[in-house]
Amino acid sequence: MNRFFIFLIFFTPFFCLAEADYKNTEVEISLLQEKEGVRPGGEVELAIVFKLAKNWHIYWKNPGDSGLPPEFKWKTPSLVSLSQIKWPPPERIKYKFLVNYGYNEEVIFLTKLKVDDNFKSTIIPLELGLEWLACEEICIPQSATLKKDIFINLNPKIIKENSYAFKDGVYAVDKVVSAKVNVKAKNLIAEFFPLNSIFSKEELLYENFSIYFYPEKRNFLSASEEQVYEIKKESLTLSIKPGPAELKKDLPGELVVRHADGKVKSFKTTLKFGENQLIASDTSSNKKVSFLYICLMAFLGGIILNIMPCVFPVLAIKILGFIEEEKKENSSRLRHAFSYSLGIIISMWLLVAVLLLLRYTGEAVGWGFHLQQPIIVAFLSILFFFLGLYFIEGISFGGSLGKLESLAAKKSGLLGSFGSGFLTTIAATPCTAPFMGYALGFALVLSPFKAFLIFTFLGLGVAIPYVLLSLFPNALTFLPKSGNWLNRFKQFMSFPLFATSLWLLSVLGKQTNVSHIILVLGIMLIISFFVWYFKDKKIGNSLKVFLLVALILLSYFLITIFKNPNLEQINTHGFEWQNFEPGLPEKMAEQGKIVFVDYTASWCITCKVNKKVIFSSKEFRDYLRKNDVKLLRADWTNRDPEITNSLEKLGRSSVPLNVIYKPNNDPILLPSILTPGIVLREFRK
Amino acid sequence: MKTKILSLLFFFLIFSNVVVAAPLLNSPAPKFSITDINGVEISNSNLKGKIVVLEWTNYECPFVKKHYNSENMQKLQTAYKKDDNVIWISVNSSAQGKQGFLNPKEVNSEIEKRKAMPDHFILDDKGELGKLFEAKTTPHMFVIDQNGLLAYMGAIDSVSSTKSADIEGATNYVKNAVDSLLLGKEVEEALTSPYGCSVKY
Repeated sequence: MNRFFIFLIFFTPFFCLAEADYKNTEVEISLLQEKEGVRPGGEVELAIVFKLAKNWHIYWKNPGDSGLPPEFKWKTPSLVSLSQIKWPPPERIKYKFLVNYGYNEEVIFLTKLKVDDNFKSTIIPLELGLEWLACEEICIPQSATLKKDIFINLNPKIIKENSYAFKDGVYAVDKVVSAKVNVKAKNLIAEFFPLNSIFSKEELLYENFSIYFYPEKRNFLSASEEQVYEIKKESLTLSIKPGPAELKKDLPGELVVRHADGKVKSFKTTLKFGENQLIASDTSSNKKVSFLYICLMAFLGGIILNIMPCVFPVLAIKILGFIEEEKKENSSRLRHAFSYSLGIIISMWLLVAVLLLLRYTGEAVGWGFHLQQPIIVAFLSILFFFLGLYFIEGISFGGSLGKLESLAAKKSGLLGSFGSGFLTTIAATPCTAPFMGYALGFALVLSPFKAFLIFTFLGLGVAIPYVLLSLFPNALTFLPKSGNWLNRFKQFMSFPLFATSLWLLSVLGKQTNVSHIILVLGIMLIISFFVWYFKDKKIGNSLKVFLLVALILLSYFLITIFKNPNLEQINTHGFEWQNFEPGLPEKMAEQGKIVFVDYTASWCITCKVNKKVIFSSKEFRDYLRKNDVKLLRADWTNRDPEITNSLEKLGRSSVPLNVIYKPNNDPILLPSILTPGIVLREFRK
Repeated sequence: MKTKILSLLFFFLIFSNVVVAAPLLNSPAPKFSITDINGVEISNSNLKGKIVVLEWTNYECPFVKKHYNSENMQKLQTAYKKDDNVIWISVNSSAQGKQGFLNPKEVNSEIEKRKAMPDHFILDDKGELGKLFEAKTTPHMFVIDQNGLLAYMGAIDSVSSTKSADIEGATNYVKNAVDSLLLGKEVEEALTSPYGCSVKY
């Protein structure tokens, strides 16, 4: 007897845990019932819960580019029937340029079991034959047979432990949304209405969601391309790239709207093929508004970028150039402004092209992505150091910015302006200014053309202060004539450059280790030597070749050494930070905590300034302590697809981003630049 | 200066080449020129006049195994091996380190082990040919007609599953397509949804 008790004590916890009905290394499957039993003539809801191991997925009824949907085969006694399976809305799972529709982590399929009035037995023996394809990168076809006896019970109670599986909210709602589709240019334009069934008024105010129409049949719509939505007065349109098969008939599917706060709504609808195949292009007036707004945001963000800590040093270079050009006539000034702007815009284009290209190959990247590569940080650090030397020494290389006497020199001066435009963009990438996060979040999910347009506006924003100054040079008349002070100023400006270099080194230090830092410092030493040695000498062609070879060797050396950086944590502010995990803030908020999430990266100087500012406030620190606010850090210093994804879910593609989670509240996205007051206000709301 | 302009031009050329037109039914097949495992060069031009079957394969994928363990694929390959008008090309686009990747040394024994009979076998571990055709699954089948036009693209047959038992009741789309072309008829079901594992680029 005693032994039996010990046995019970040891094993009770295992009995209490809901044991899965089937388990292997990839999946765990449970067949759950909502109520204890069912009465004759009644029905009981059943759930088939798949829990998937990390990185493994199974498929939706249309699996997308590859894969296979799970199959459910029931065996039931007569007089018992099952309704059609309800599939939760799928997600797009990317692999290189292929996209699947399916489920990660956990998926719950629902069905209803109905029992006829005349059912006589007391037990319903139920058998479910399951076949599914579990895929990570590789795929394994699997199957299982689950058995369950459901008891006839005249007054069945709800089983509490199972209730988590029977939340109805996310499953597709039927017959609320109608849809039609037309061909416009090469794309299909699907139109969904009425708008107020899809969104509530408040949701429309905060236009921040991802929308996707999942077709039930394959081949008609491209699975790999993003669908671009526009919200019109009465309806929602999606521009969809067609698949290889021509859409001639109606296409059933699900319209899935994912909100930034993680809320998901799904609507069953059928794309009815429109009779008039071509939409007149007169609908452009009201639908462009929201996109124009995004462009405006990008433009404003660009202007503000100029005074952000990471861009200012480079802008300072440009201001210097400006004072020198004061001597010249207007037309030359304008030409410089033009080539500077062109430099910015073209480099923005290159940037967006690289970004889109990387996204196309399935990399999870966002603004500032290149600073996640230690090698690029090292190069930038050296670059800024070199520029600093250039200013403090006043040396001139081949085609200098300074010598403007001859026509040829003038040309190279323009090229210099173009180059400093490039440089501005490069320096701007670790920063995010206010408004910018909003616009860039869109840029990366819209069509490439629109992404280019948004980045163009961003570039124009960056360029406009300089362009304005060159249009109205009188604004600078308060400055004294160029002379000795200018040289002093120029030399002084090398210090922000050195500081930038130092900051980049500190980023590098967090990405790699001290030996890499020493290496970069060593290269700086060599460069300073060369700069000193060649300061007053004319540089001959053979020497140029020699320098070029030396540079290439150095680069090669750098690349080989930087191949395997090891990561280190960012230091804290005395407060305890926990590492961010997807779903963690929501969970903590459910447990009644206030959560402050900091999406940050050591190369993001705005993030640092933000933290410095808010944590220096005693009121803020006291509030954190008193209310036991949980601090979560999502460190994006190196590439981390989980963080990129969670940023995307919030509609952003860049840091800084700070989010507050409160119990029973949607997450609050804080602005890019923080003050203690802003954060406290949101905390207390 | 000149080199700067040239390098800029080069940059734009690279970027402008990124967008490649998707393969379209009844349009010329994507242009390719590639060497098979025996060093034989094959390209659109030297295949002109032949019916070409392209089969994307990955011997470790369960969907491919279905058709090889049942010898369904080999039967088709053997039948067309005898016919000079039909050229069967198996393509393996698994990248190095990914499932199904074969190095040139082991590929022949792997083919022999399965008694596979393709006319050509291509190791496309860089995925170039795969991306050109937008091959998505293994198996993913393409048939090019005598005039070099894409006559079929899609699945091997009509039942998407990993079970060999399903082969018997399935319609083999590739056989139908090739046989129609041999008889000079139009391919009835020319476009189907390919099913299988994703190609392991």
